[in-house]
Amino acid sequence: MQRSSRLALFHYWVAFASFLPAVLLGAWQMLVRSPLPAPLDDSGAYYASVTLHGTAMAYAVTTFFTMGFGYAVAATSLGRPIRGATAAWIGFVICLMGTVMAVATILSGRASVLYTFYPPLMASGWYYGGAFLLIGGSMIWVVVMILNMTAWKRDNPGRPVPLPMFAIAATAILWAWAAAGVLLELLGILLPRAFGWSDLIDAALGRTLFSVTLHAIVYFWLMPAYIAFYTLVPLAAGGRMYSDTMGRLAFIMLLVFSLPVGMHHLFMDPEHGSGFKFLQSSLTFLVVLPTLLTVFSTCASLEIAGRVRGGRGLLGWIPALPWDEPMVLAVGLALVMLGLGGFGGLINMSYAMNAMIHNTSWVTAHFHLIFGGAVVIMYFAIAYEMWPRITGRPLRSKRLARTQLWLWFWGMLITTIPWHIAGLMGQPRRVAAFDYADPLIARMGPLVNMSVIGGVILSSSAILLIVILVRSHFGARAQAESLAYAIAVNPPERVPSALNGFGLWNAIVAVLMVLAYGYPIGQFFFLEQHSVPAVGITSQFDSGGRR
Amino acid sequence: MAEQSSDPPRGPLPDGIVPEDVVARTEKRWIVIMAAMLVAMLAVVVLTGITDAMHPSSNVEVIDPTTLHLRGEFVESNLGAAVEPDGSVTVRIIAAQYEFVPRCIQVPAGTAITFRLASADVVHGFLLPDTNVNTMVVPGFVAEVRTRFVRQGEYAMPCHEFCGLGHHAMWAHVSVVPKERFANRTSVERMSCAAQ
Amino acid sequence: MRIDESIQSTAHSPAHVGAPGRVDAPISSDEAARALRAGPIGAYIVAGISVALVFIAWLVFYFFVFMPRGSIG
Repeated sequence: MQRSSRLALFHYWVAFASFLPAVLLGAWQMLVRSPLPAPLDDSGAYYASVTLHGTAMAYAVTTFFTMGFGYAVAATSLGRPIRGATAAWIGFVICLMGTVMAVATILSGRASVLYTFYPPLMASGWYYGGAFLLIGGSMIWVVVMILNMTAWKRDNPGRPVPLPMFAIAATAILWAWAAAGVLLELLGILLPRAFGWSDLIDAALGRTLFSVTLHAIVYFWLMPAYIAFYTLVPLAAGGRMYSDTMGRLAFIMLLVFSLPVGMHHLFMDPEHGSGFKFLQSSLTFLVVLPTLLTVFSTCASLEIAGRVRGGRGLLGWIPALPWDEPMVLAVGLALVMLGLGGFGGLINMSYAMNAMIHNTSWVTAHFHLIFGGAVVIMYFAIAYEMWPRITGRPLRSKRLARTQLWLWFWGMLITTIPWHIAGLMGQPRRVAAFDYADPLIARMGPLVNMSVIGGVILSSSAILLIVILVRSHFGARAQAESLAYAIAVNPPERVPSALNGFGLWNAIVAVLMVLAYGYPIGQFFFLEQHSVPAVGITSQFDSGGRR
Repeated sequence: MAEQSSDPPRGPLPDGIVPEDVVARTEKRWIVIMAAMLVAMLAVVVLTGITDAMHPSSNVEVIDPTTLHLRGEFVESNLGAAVEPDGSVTVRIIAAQYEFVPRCIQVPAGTAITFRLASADVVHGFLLPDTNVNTMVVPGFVAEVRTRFVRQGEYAMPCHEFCGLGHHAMWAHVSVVPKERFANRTSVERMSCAAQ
Repeated sequence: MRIDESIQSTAHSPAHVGAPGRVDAPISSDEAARALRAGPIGAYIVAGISVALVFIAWLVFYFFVFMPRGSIG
């Protein structure tokens, strides 16, 4: 097996091997918090599970999947083996070690602080160390992506970087900027406290640093899905990408505007004033634009494919599309979930409107629908494209793949729509047990029960996914054609250097970050004493002698 | 040259199936329409923020969580609902693992209410369902929310930020009562959950 | 990714549209080009209606759910 293929495959397998147990834990969690009886109904187990589910889904599955996808894209879109494969493998091992450290610590019950680990709540240093290795180790991937793009540009002067590579490089740069927040929080606040080098914790600074990561990370997660929208979907549908230039612009906008907006997760926080909250809310409106652009471009690309297949009239192109292709079905389902989930996101970001739903189940439902739904379903579709090319064996059954996708779609809608409604009723999030005897809480019970059913459907879909991928490793080998990417309707001979590199955009990001975060973060270094003692999730992690 | 759609030739799609200038024009038009929609939404946020006082709490006040019970605004005798000289009511609550103190609060309807909370340990939060009262309580800072209840009602007030292994048990109760009933209660009675 | 046999960058090569095993491209590319002469009207309809629905839903929530819940700040 070719080296880059093996590299990508190992990353994908860690991602999906983490994914299945995480989904099952999620389904169990939903059962525990419902009025229905559940096995092992223990709040300590619940919070450990939420931590494990969140850490696996938010950090492990996504990072490993995107790294693997990046190596695959770099090799195939540039048409040559990736440079720095050794460094890539070292990075893989570091990330894997970090994941194992974090998971083991969570399972031991000494890290039930959730994947957002807001200080001054403190867990075992092994958890923070594991998270640091996983996130920090992925910076090696970032460097490898950038190096491969710059090496290709040097070898191909004046030519446009292929869009898939340009986009995955944008993803890598975005991730480096985004991860800076949580890495600084780990290095500067949490690990020192865990090692006993500091006693008090600046909880407000920790939350604010983490907010730098918390929104931008979702763009790190969704970039592979958008790369698929632009470069894989049009080809799978039998058409062309509507506009290469707009694709580049969309990825640049995602890079630039996903970063100076994290404080919209802190709208309800007392340590920041309304001025900067409003500024970051306004900037968040800007980051909606590249998604709206992508939706249009994707629909246009699909329309071309549909018309070319004989679809006539205003909407006849829709049924004409090859819906039996998993990639085409996936994008259709993804766009529906993107619309619903995006609606929720617009509400969350609208400044004071955030008060209606902050920290309710609406928020949890929202990100499950948009990320767990729209984005992850594209991860599945990408996997169905990648596996046959890596293993040399075609998918045994496209029908089974489509069934898996449909199950995921319906499961996600049934889980999240009642969950949104419960949030509007004021159901708090991250709660192990509700007193359903209280009439004010009882009306939420049936909604949670519906989500339990959704969780069962999602679990069956996740199991089916693994079955399909495992089966792809067995059976007769067939000559698989190399991974191909969609070509633009008007392929560019040259593109302006601003659309072919990131120097300018990095500079703009730096300026925006100083503008949006300079004061909010800087203020903590001048504000009068506001650091507080650490409070361990178990008492062994408390600040010494202070309480 | 028209092709018979019943006898399709196969081969690669030619370039320019949509002319380049049409692609650019349609994309630009879409961006303009989308930007206009976003500007409209932002305008709604700004205008209602100004005219209807829709702002998230943003007071940035520092306080020491380890001495809340010893001195200052949040000593035990000062907790609960207090009437200000201008007729508004200030409610002071401490959030700690795993209870709000006081656990039962009465406030009058039709009055300006200011909630002020401080945490004695970790990050907590609270909301009142079906209202916009919602804030984080970060240790080291005082959280403040100002509102006005139009109707009377009963609210189960959860802690909505994970604060440790007992987080699910952290609920308080807020009763919004008619103004006259509130005025007739002593400050101690206002902190009772017993039916009155 | 059988890149040992194809060193050519695949993202550029027009030969990859309509590659064997792929859904084949033009059934009626001239007709499609005619229909798309003025741009992707179908995409405008689908994307436009979806986004309009989301926008309207946001306005409905803003004025009929959020604001009636009371002023804050």
